[in-house]
Amino acid sequence: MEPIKSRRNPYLVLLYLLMGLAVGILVSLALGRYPILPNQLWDLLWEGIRNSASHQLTPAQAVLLRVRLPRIFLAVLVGAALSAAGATYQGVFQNPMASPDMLGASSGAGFGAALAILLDQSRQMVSIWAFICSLGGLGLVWVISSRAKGRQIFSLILTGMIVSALFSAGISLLKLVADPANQLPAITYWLMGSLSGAQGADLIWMGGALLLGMVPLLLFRWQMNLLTLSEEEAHSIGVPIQMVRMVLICSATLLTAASVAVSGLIGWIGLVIPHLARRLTGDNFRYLLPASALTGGLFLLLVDNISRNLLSTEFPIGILTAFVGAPFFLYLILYRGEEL
Amino acid sequence: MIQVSHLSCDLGGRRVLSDISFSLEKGQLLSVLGPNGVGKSTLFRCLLGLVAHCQGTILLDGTAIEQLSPRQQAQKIAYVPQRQSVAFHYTIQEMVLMGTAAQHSLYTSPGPAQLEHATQALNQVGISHLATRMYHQISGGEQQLTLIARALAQQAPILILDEPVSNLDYGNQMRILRLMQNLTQQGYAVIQSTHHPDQAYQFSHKILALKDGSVLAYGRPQEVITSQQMEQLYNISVQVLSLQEDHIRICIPNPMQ
Repeated sequence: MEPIKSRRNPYLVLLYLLMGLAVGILVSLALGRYPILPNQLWDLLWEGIRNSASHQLTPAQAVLLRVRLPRIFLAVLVGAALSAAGATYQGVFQNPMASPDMLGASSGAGFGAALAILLDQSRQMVSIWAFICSLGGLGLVWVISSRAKGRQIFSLILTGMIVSALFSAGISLLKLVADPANQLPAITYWLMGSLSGAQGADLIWMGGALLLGMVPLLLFRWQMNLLTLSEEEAHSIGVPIQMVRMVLICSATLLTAASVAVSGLIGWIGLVIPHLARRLTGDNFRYLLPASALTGGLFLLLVDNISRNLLSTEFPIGILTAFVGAPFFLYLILYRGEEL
Repeated sequence: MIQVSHLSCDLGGRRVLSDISFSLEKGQLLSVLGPNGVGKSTLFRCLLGLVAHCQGTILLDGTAIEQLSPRQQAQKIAYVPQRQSVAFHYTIQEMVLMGTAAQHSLYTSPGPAQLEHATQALNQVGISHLATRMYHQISGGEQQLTLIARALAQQAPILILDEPVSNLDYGNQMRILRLMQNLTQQGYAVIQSTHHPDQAYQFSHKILALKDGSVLAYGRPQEVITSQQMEQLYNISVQVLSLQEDHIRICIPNPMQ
């Protein structure tokens, strides 16, 4: 007789994650090179918000409100967006190894950003170019795969690989012609991913995209369960497969594109976090999707704290997520009997 | 309930089904017999509205199937696929709840009414004690019962089962067959495909024997399960024995000559 798997109450798990995230945000506000004690936080925040209209901030208030707060919220939003997108892709493609960069969204963004840097555009414009090229990548994949014969899922994945490879080649070409003194390091640094220099404007951007992409995912999350069944089953149960699939892929790609546009290429989160969340809530997307988003936000917040506090210089977060993510994934496979 | 007339279907330039006609009423069980690759799966795909270019008509309750949305169709006809391995792991209750998708809106999760239907379906097939177990950890027979419960939770009057007893032990085969018989008596119209002529004879009201994509024989079991037609159907030498005043017929392959 196999042991009956004890199931935690999924609502309790979500509540714990939410509380963990709140604590994480508070702790992160106190962390940093400019010392701010936890007991000063509340006063500084309150005073800072009151004074922000008159532009007379003390250094402590400025650090907290203009530097730390945007960066912390950006880390949470990006982590949540990438993880939710990853969980969605895994369901839609019926493949636990799927990740948000499958359909050319990431490499498209990378190409757009590299192009903008090459053309000496402002930081804001780099994000916008990255975003546009990212969606363009998905559009290209969609148009090509809709003309392909055979099963939609396979042609989507294959065209995604092809379009990604094309964009990667394009990035290499841009690096080749870039000015090695300024532009080349800027491109390389952008591709490694970073949350440094986060501004309020990024936050508004990202918040809007998160709302636009996350709401459909949350509404359709039960349908994600149905898409993990075979096409015959899903159809016979009454799921309008094509429509649901399109809504989910477009929303998830919007989240990916917005994340990559503000933070560069931060890998591994979209693949690893859904697997971690799966251990907490099970595979039912009704709970898995919100759990992935919350876990992802918390995870990227923690990693970003390491990134900005570990060394005296900023450590690119994309490298850190890979250093943390890859061994963790290995652990899941080797010791926790994760079935892939 | 369901009426199929002159159904033909080409796939990849090859005629897979040609001129198939049959009908089924409430409370009847139809078994589809035929060698591997004869087009049984394609026939089922046509009945589920999954094949775009079928000629002929399929009427569900008098409505042509192509006029129904996936949702409306799901309220009329439910499908029990062959068991297959799954990449995602759900509890039995979650699996059965998935059958209720056509009863709630696209952007909500199943509510209390759907939970009620799922619980009822689990009771109907007798596995309510498994509700919190994981689907991939239970036995093959229990998985088959779960898939049937999911179809019942769908609340459709027509059930299509694709080889429901394949890869099951003898006891589980009988349990599934009895359950189908039971459901027919409750008023469902049931269609199954099978490779067991004896079972088809014992449990069906009608049998459709397909060979090379067309109808070899169609009618009451007594008319279809005969040694001559079984020999034609499977290309082997078969003797059909009648037992218990012809309530049971058994096919016995003749020894090689």
